[in-house]
Amino acid sequence: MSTVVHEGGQRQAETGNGSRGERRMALFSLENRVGRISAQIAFLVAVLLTWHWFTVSGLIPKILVAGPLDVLNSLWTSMQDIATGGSMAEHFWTSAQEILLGFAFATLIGVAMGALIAEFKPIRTLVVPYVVALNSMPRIAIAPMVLVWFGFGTSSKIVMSLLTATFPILIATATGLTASDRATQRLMRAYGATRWQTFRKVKIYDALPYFFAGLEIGITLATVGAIVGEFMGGNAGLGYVILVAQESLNLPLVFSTLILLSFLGTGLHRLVLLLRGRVIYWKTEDDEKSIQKSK
Amino acid sequence: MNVDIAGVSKIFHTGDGERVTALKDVSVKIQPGQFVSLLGPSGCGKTTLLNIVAGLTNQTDGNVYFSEQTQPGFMFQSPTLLPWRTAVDNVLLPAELGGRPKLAQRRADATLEQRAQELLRTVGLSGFEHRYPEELSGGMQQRVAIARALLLESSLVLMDEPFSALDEFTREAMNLLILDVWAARGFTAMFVTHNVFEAVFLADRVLVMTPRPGRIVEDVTVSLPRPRTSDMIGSDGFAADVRRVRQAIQSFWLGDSE
Repeated sequence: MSTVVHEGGQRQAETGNGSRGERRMALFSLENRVGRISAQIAFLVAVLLTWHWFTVSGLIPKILVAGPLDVLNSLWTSMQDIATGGSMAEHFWTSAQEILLGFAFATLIGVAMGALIAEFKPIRTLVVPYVVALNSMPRIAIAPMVLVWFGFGTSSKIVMSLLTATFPILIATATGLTASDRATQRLMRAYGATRWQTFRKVKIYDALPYFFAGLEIGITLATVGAIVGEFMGGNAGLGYVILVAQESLNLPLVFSTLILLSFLGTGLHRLVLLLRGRVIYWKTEDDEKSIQKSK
Repeated sequence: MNVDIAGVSKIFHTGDGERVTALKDVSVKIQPGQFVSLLGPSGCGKTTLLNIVAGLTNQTDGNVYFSEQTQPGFMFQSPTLLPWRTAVDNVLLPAELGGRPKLAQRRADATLEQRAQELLRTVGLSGFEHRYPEELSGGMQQRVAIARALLLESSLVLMDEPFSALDEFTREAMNLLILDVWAARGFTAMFVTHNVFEAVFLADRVLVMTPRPGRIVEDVTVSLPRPRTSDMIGSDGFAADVRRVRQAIQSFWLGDSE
């Protein structure tokens, strides 16, 4: 009898310990939301502290890397400027506009060409080799020509943006439109579906997950394209700000503008994910086709 | 409706220039309202024959005659439901497909939606009309597929191993269900399967097929009375029919391997 009680007591103590330990673990546990976020913040703080220590200790000269405090300070100033509609606001919105317009055109062109390539074999045969060749051409090498053709204003940046973002969208669309399984195609043929009916009622839906994966890559590349365009010449946009700040050795501004850019990029990427969630209302077999479900 | 398959052959050309005779001189007459099983091991051409009847594959030789023009109903091995459509919208799909005159005719039919709802009730899915396929079990999905096959009131329904992916118990329930709807509607049914028991239990006639080249080697008339019930599965009559079908397969099978 006594041993049983003893065992019971011991077991209780063990479980008590266990749950306390588990609770402590939960704060940084990657298994739940709170834990994940706190772990992510802790990681960021650790990186910032290390960075701070390196710059303060003088191991890295301030002329090469700005300290985190200077950067945060500069970021705060920039954000205030954006909120109050200062010059930084103009740069921010110029870049945003270039990216969005470039992305919009890239989507239109990518979808149209992707659909033509997927649906018409002669077009596929004729066009695909050149599409691949064009795609392998580094966009940054085209930038000077684009500047000559489209001028120093926003249009050259929009063109750069669309040139960079079109291909992944095109390829994703073409792949998606040919992704319908054979069984479904057999069903459609069996009921005498016309080609257009199969396209409209099956292929478009099957293509959507691929299409959005393409959009996710596209929006990121649209940002790259627009900023490369701004680097090449012009007088507005966040890329231009970075260029000018670098020339005047204003490193905190360079860094804080980079952070602003990543805010912009993340925001736009989120927008695509939001749209994806709205459009694809049914469960797809692989929801992980979204390349970055950062949650 | 009558289906008259007359001297149908099919030769496939493989990638390396080889010729494979999938069907050789297949002839069979199917009477209106008959339930016919096409039974055979894989590679015997039973699916090819079904595809030719469906007009999905062209025969190399021979003809298939129908006593009337109709859009057949279809069931496949997988339910092939569109995941972005609810059950009732999946059932309605066949009505949205086809050429202009066909479509116009169906659009004029205002009772279609009502019929789709009724069909879902018939296959035991009332309350699930607006669920998406993802939310339904495999058996329930195949029930939706049955309803879809019946939407156009086809006088011919072609089924290609529709229950082979289901577990034994679900399959039996599905067999009884398909017999119910067949008895109520009186369509002509062609049912492809590689399951001897299923073939016998469902059919009036079992067409036994063997491969290399694909052909019908035996036309077994099932003696079990209608309506079929699940306790017939253990009966002597059933066992006798199964034995006849198996013998037909085995004699050719063993003969083949010699």
